[in-house]
Amino acid sequence: MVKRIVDRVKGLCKLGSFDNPECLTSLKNILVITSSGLCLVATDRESYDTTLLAGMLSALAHMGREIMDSDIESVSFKGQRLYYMQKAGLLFVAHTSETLSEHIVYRILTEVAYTFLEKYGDVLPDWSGDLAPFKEFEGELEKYRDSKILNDFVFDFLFKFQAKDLILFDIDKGKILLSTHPLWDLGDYINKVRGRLRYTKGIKKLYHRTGNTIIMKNEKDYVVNIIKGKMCLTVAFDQKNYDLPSLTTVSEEILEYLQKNEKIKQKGKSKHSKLAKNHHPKSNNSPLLITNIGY
Amino acid sequence: MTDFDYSVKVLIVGDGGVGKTSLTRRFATGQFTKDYIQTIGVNLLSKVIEVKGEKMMLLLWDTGGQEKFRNLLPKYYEGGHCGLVVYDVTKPLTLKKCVWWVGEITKHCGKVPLILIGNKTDLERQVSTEEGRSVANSLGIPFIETSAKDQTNVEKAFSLLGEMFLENIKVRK
Repeated sequence: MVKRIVDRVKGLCKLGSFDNPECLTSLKNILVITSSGLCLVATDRESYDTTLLAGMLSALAHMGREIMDSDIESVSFKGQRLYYMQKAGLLFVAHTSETLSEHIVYRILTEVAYTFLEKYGDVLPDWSGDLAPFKEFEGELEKYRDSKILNDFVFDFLFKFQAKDLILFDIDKGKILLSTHPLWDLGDYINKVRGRLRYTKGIKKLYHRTGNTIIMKNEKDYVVNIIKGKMCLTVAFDQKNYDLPSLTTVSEEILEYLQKNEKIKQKGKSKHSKLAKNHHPKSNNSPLLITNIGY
Repeated sequence: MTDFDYSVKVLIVGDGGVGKTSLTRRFATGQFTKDYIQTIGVNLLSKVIEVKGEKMMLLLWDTGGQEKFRNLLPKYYEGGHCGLVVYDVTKPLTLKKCVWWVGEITKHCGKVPLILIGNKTDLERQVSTEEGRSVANSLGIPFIETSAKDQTNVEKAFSLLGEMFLENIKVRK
């Protein structure tokens, strides 16, 4: 059962976007900085002056604590972000594109932090400025910029939601854009959901409804339908993994993540789109990309 | 990979208007700005130098000398490896304040290599070289007079600081 869930979610990720060059550049740099503002380690020292950046980030962190009485968590630039993690008096910083999920970034930073501190925890208290001990670690950090490693973090990220099934569809057109469920089962389901969403007065027996979110339940599962624009995301969760208040947040997060990573693409005809046409007469004229990994 | 062996945090301290920013900028970029630019908190500049065969990246923390920045300065001093304490040779009061500045650095960084710098030697001085040297001797630190405007002794000051840093590491080892 668990393996099937894992396989389903992993299969969800086998889309072009993770192999494209943009994914490789999503994680631009990882830095380890002392609280005094010196850069011990950086995966990329060529693109810009990491020494100056380290000093600036350290000064920002100090100013933040002094003026705002709070720690900086991230700094946003146009199309880019810097994420901070503070551990043991060090700043672990990731420079990423804005499309890379925060969860993935902090997962990477946590792993980097623990690995670094385990290796150099004894060296740091008496550190005098000599960078030689840390040069080896820069090579180790390079692996995080490898797309396969990044994909593994993405798989984990989606798996952590413990979604049993996930369907993304266009409400107006009734087109399925993404699905972990066999298509032949979906036609009636989609129509029912669309019907329910449109004729909201009839939705009296639904478990929970707020705004653009409808949550239904059966004996074991919650089924969350969340609408953003013309997209409807349906996610099935095991009830024992979630309580009601967190479902909407999680579902919104999944939807936002899917949209940000451009998982929805228009492509030429595929065997899946033929299947979809058979079950969605209204969509005959529109090509679809469907990822269906079935069982 | 790094093109240098050491990463060194250099503190540049002194009263407002003594020429810390001009000095730092002259060293790091080779440029001199005539106008007095008020420093907001801290300016950061970097430069790689080679001293006795060792390459070191100097990260220069040019700190604000005005009273309004005094609360933030201790945070910026943290982890400083060495520093320049700067006064203006046309303003005697700025030399007297250097004793306080040295005390501040020592309080927050411990006994780290420092150099007393008498800046603006291109102008009509009010502080003699002997007076500056006397204060430096009383503090137990080296003394150099500079002019950021005509580049007098600017490189020398930072090179000496680099040597003192290396010497300090050897002693600590």
